[in-house]
Amino acid sequence: MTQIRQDKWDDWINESLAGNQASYRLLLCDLRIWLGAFFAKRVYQEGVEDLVQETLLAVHAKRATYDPSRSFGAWVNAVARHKWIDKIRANVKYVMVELDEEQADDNAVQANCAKYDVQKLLSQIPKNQADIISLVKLQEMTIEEAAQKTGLSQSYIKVTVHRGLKKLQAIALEGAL
Amino acid sequence: MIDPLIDELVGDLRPIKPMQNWFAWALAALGFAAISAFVILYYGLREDFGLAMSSGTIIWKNGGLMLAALAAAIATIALSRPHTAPPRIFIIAILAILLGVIGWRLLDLAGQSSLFYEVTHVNFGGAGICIPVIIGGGILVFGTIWLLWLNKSASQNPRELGAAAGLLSGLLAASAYAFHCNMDNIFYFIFVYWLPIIGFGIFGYLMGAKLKW
Repeated sequence: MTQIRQDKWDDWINESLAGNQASYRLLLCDLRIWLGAFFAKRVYQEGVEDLVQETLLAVHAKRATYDPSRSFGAWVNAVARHKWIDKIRANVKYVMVELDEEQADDNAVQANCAKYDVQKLLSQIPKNQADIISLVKLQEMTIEEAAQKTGLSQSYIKVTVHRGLKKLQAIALEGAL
Repeated sequence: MIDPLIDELVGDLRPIKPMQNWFAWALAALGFAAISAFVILYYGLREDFGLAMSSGTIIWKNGGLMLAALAAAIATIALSRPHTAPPRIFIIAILAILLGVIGWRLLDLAGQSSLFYEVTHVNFGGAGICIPVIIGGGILVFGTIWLLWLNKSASQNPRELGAAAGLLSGLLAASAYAFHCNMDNIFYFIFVYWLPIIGFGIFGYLMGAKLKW
């Protein structure tokens, strides 16, 4: 099993910024493993590779924003977190979009993955609120159906969903999973 | 290990200089110096500059704007990188001082006259020059910061970064114009100075969406 040499990262990035390709390769190979583990804890399995690649591209494109007086680990952690939050934001929006039936078949895997992310987020908010969002956004019930099922008013359902989604976005933004 | 993406990124590696905070400070200072030079050379220093200095007007007016610009600059620099955040307590302290100054001026005015009368009888005589100078100067600073700094940034909060840079641009232009302007009424200060500054903040916030990465 390949070991990560996190203690070398600061040296490798500084050498990479100076154009040293060998150090850069060592750094990226280490990062690939580290990022795989980072995202595996946070997103569905099918989404890990995409996020690893997106983060490696971001590391490459934005490496000039790394401040050499600080730890590279903190920098790359922040970049990975940013990419992960972007993904969650996109997925929260994704489950809010109603799919037509043809698209639904094609996108079934993606939809399931997105729902997995949202379900992880839902565990962070009060159960009552999470249950209502789950009915409307994951089980795709109408407001009327959700109101009938829960015995609550339609306006209460609407308000709860609206407030809950705002809270979910805030949680995603803070990375509070 | 063979990884086409890593091979490609390694092949694309070129030496690059990390972003340096002093460069952002220099951009802000140069922007302020350029607009100040234009204001002083074209419009001239306010005629009562010495008196305004001794009465403390320059301190609360120019100083207040510069203090806010300092907070905006610190926020802009800190928000530009993914792993740094602005020192909130410091920024809140500066904003509290600024609000304190405005509150103090309002109380002072209330002791001399009716605030309602003052707010409904503001002399907007200088606004025709003041607002265009703040907007023009602010656009110049914002455009420069955008091209030479924000474009390279990687913020976790791009909209907030845009807003901070927008406020910074407006504040620097307003501070520079305050060298000429002798309209010291606090309501003039709020309406003619702060409305364009806040407008820049909103503009920057909207533009910040383009800084996504």
